[in-house]
Order: sequence, then structure tokens, then C-alpha cells
Amino acid sequence: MEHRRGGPAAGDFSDAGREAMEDKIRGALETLSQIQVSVANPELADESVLERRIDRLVRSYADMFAMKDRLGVNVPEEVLAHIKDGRNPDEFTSQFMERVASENQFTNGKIAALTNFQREYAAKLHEFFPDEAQSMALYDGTDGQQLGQDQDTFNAETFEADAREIAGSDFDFFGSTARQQQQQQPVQPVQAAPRKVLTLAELEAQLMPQQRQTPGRAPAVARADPETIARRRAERLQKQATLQRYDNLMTQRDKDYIIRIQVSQLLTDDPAADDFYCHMFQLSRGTAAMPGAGQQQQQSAGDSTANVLREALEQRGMQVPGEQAGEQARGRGRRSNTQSSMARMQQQVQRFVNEARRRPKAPQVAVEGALGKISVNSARNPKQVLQVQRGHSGSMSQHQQQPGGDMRHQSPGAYDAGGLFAVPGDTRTPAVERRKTLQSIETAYGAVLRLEQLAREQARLPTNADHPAVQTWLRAYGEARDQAWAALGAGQPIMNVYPHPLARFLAFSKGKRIIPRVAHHLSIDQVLALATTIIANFETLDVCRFGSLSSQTAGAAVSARQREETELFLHAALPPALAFLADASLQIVNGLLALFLERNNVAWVARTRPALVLLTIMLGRTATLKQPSALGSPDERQALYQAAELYNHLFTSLHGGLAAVFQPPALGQPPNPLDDAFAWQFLATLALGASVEQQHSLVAEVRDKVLEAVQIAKSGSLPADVGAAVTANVNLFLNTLGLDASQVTL
Amino acid sequence: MLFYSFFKTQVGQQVTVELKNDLAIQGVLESVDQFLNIKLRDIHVVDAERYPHMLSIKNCFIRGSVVRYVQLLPSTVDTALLQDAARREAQSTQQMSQTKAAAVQA
Repeated sequence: MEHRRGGPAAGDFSDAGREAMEDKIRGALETLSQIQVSVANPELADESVLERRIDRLVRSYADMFAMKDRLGVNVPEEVLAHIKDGRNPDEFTSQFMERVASENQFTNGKIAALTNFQREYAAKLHEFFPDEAQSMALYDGTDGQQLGQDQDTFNAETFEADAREIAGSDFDFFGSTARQQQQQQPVQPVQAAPRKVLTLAELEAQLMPQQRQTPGRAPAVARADPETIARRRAERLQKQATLQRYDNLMTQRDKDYIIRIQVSQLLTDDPAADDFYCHMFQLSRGTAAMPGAGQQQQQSAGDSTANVLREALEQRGMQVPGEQAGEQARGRGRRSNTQSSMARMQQQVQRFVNEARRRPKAPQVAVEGALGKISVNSARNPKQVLQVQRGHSGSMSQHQQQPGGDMRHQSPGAYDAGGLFAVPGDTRTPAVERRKTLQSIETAYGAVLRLEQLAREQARLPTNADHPAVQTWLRAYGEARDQAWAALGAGQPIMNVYPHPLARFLAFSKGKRIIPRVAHHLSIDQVLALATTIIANFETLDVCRFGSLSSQTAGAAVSARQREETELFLHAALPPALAFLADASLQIVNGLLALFLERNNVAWVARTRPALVLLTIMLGRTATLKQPSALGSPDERQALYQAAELYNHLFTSLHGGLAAVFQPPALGQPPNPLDDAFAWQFLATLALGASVEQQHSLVAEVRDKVLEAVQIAKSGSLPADVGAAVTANVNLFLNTLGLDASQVTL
Repeated sequence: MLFYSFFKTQVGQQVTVELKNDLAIQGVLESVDQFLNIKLRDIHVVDAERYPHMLSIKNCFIRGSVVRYVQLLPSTVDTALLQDAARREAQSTQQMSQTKAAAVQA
């Protein structure tokens, strides 16, 4: 039996009981050794001594047994097992310490993680539920006194569970010690335990490599910031790098080349040439606020270039620099930068235009070695439509003409009524004549357009008359004017051709429309000739011939067209002549009046409105000029005499038909009392120059009409202003006679 | 270039474009180019029930070759000016064809 003088722990125990026990154990050991000696030498020892020693031993055992309750020492069974096996009990202790250390580390990690979690959770809770945070007991890991009930169980669970894990169910060291400690000191040991664990943990931490030691830090987002920032920047750089690989494939020269091609398709330096409609339209309507118009309108040359440039850029979806910068106003440097870039672009475009003009692109190109020429189509010279020549256009259109020769579809130019007056062998057929007239109208239009273009250019000419540019301009102007005059065909008032070319010219509405524009450029003599011709052939004008068609047979559409033509005539074709008349001398007026009366069947013509208007103006002019002048030169007296003669002639020819001056209302439309204004005006001017007898006869004829008008005005069936207007009209006439509408008694 | 010039004056006006496939789109004319391609904004299809796929579309680009009609307001058009512009255009093409013929013969 080997004894281990052991019990190194004996010195550690401060308990008195333990010391006593130690003595007892030592005593027992001595006794045992004595017994061993006596037993080893049986011949020398007495049986009594042996008995005495055995007795002593048993008595020490009994004492130890009695003392055991006073001791507070619990020796683990494993130590005894170690001793039985002959192993060093210290070995057990060292193993145990190792286990404790590792377990402690494990637990410490758990604690740290959970503490962190709790701290963050508490912070978030505090953030979102500030009110409830106070009620909840929050553990922030530093102050153990705030530990709630759950925390205790947390610790207990942790410790108990781990102890069970390591040591099996029979070993319950931790659990028992912890529970004992807890039972003894509920608060303190818990405070002590984490501290103890922590101190051990610190030791372990010093020994073991530090892994994921996280001191209390900021939340996860802030923690990740430098990383994500760096990551994103790296991504961005990488993207840029991949994109930049294909940069600068086109040189600036290539870009200019492409731009030149594209822009030269669109560009025009003279807006009137290619962009006519748009340009003129904007001029006539007053340019609506065009963005960036201010700086560009000043340069007339750059005007169209800038506009086209803007359009071209917009088409390609790019920003127009000048405007956008102007709108956003992002600081001076930027604005001036974009403006200058805009100016640079304009310069570039200008350069392109000049180059393109210097080297005009041939519409055809002949490649070397190819047989023949290839025509290049662009926006300027598009592919032409095939022109098929039809033979004998005259005969074909004649077939078309005859079915349409009745009154309803009477075309303006076909005065020959189906070739009644066409002699065989005569090259003039209605269709040919019509076409000739239309051609002359188009010639007139072309000439007028040229005249207007020249008039626009006149502003840009140099002032001195000797300049060759001025000479050319004058020459061009004169040529165009002559051409227009020739197209009108008003040179000869009376021709042997029926109807007069001018009458045919005026038969078309576009012919009527061109007259004022031409007259603007004609000389006085030419205007006189024009007026003369119109007057001489007045009754052949289509507007007068409308009167011959009774409005009952004609359809509503035709009468509408007639109305339109009449209006157009009165507003467009006649005013130049009237304006001329308004300034003409008495002799000229007399001459024209004489011509009118001679050439036209007055009574018949007087039923048409244009004739009435013309007569009104002429008579009015005569009346104005009839004021006797201080010098009674013989020419003037003669003119006055002539005027009186003419007047009488007119009156007699009108006599009896004056009631017909008032036109019947149009078919299907209610009679408008205001339509007769022109008739009343005519009657008034007629009455101006009338003698007393003529006045009597005048009144007698139109008496019914007057009464009717006054009745309508006074009856009150019309709105007030219309009634007033009707009364005014009647008064026009009556006042010249010295009467008034109020005097009329019904 | 005549109709290009004409449509340039119509920019900003309400027009109705009828296509060759019978789709009629009303909208404000935003831009036009030399091929008469049309860009419209704030569009609204005339017969919306037949074309439900156009419900969400606000702007569109129409190729010029598929347009059948463009309906305009007469007040925005100056017909006399348009006639003059057409005459000029006709004159210029006549001149060009004459020079072409002269060049061919030469």
C-alpha cells in the first residue's frame, strides 16, 4: 500500500476542522505504519502491541467518521478513482482546469455575442419605442444590478447546459456550485460569476489568438461604409474603363465630314429659296416667340443656319446648347461656353455651306470604266416622275367638253359654247383657249413672284444708281413687269377676239387674285389701260354673266360659287381700277363712263352688283369733280357738259329698270335686309346728279322699295341694330333727295 | 422641301395623322424632318377601343412613309402663300430638269 504524502491542498484549507482531520489522518497513517512494521516482523512484535495499534487505528477511523460532518470538503469521486488506479490526483485537477478554461472561453464568446445583440436591440428599441424602453429592464452589459429575471435564467441555463454537455449527467460541479452560490448570494455571485468568467476569459484571451474581438462599435451600416464606398468606386472605374476602350474611334475630321454631309442636305443660305413657305408664313404672321431668336435674328445670314442647326440637333435627340443653358443659367462659365460652342457650330455650318456651294454636287456622276452616267438623287433633285406625252390633247378635251357644256357646268373659259363660233381650220378650240388662259395666268404668277422677290431684295441694294448690281436689279424688275403685263393681255382694250383675253383671265378665281398683286407694280398708264379694258368688256365678265342665269334654275352650289366669284372680283380685281378712278381727272372719268355706256347694255348690266359698284364710284367721282372751279377753263366746262350728257344717257337707259337694281334673294336663303346697301348707295349717287324731273321719276320707280324697307325697319321684327342699319341705308337715298325716312308715312 | 417647310409652320399645332394602316392619331406636332417623319406629343388615338396597346403612349415617332393623311386646321394655313410656294417649287424643278436635259445633251 503506497501512501502519497499528499494533500497539497491541506495547507490551503483554513478550516479548523480540516486541520483536525488532517492530524487524525496523519495519526492513522502512523498507526498503520506501526502495524505494518509489527506485521512485517512477526517474531519481534507482541500481539498486545499489535492489538493496541489496531485498536488505535480503529479508534482514529471512528473519530474521523465522527468528524466528517464538520468538514466542508467534497472530494470528487474521480479523484478517488484516480487514487485507486494509482494515478496522480493532480492530474485530475489539471484536466479539470483545462476543461474549465475551454468551457469558459466558449461561454465568454456566447456572452459577448448576446451582450452585443442585446445592446443593439436595446438601442433600436429605445429608438422606436422610447416610451416602453423605460419599462423594460435593459441590460447593457456594464451594470449588473439592472439584471432582470430572464437574465438569471439565461446565465443559469448557459452554465448548466454547458456543464452537462461536457461532463455528463452525473457530474454536476458547475451546476451545484453555481446553484449553491446563487442560493447563498443571489445577486452577488451573478455579479461575481460574470466577472470571474470575464477575468478568466481575459486570461484566455491573452493566451488564445484574438478572433473577432468587437469592442462596442457603431451600427453595421457605418461599419460597412468605407468598404462599400471603395467597392462602388472600383465598379465605376471598371465600367468607365470598359467603355473607354472604344473611345476616339472617330477623329474630329471624320465627325466634321459626317456633319457636313448631313447638314448640307438640309441647309440653305437663302431662306426664301428653299424654305419659302415657312419663312414667308412666319413673316406674315409675325414670328411667334422662337427660342433663342433674339441673338439669331440679327444675323440674317446665320438665321436659317441656326434654325436648321437647331432642328438637326433636335432630330438627333441632342440638346441645343444655347437655349438649355440660357434656361437653366448654371453659372457664367458654362453659359458662355455653350454659347461659344453654338457660335462655333454656326461657323462650321457656314463653312460647310460655302464649300458645298463652291463645289456644286453634280446631279450625275460618271464612274471610270462604267458605261454611262449614274444620276445621284438627293432631297434637291428627287427622282422625277415619268412624263408621258399624250397626243392630240385638243381633240380629247373637246370630247370631254361637250357633255359639260350645259349651263350648270359652264366652265369659265368655254365661252365658245361648244365650238359654235369655231370655224373649221381654226386652231382655236375652247379647250385650247382655256389652256392658253391658264398658262398666261401662271406666267403672270411667276412674274409676280419674281417681282416680289426683287422687291424684297431691293432693300439690300447699294444706294448709288450707277452700281452694276442696281442696274441688273432694275433690268430684272423691268423684265418681270413687262412679262406680267403681257400675260394680262390688257394692252388692247378692244379686240376682235371674243371674249377678250382679259375677260378670260378674270374668269378664273386665281386670275382675279393676281390682279391686285400685279397692279401694285404697274405704272399708272398700265393701270389705266387695265381699267379701260375691264370697263370696255364689262358685260363679258363672268361676274356679270351670272346675272343672266336665273337663280331658280341654278343649284345652290353654283349660286354659292357665283357669290364667291363676285365677292372675289369686288374685293380683289376691281379695287385697283376703283382706286385709279378715285384719283382720275374728270376727262378720264367721262371717257370711261362713255366707254361703259357704249360698250355695255346698261340696263342689263345694271342688274349685277359689280356694275353697280363701278357706276357708283364713277358717278361719285363725277359728282365730286363737278364742283365748279374758280377758273372756268373751256376744257373743264366741256368736261362738265359731257358729264351731264352722259348722266342723262345713263338715266334714260336705266329708266324703267331701276327696280331691278335690287337683287332678288338667293335661293334657299332668307333675305337679308342689309344686302341691298350697295343698291341704295347707287341710287343715292344717281340721285346726286339728277335734275328735278329725274328725281321725280326716280322716286316713282323705287317708291315701293322704299316703303317696303321703311316698313320692315319700323315694324320691329328685326333686331334693333339691323333695323337701324336698314333705315340708314334708305336714308342714304332719301337724304340726297332732301327727304328722310321719318317723313315717310305708311 | 415644300412640305417640309409647310410642316415646320405647323409645329406646335394640333394635328391628326392617319396612317396607311387606318390608325388615326391626334396630337401636337413636335417636330418634322426632311423625310416628313413626324413626332407627336400628348397623343390620343381617335378610335381608342380598337387599339388598347396605345393607351399608355404619350409621345410617338411616325415614319413619314406610313402616313396617309395629315389633318390640319384651315386657319393655320395660308393657302395663297402655299400656292405661291408651290409655284416656286415647280419653277425650280423645271429649271433643274432643264439644266439636266442640257447637261445630258452636252
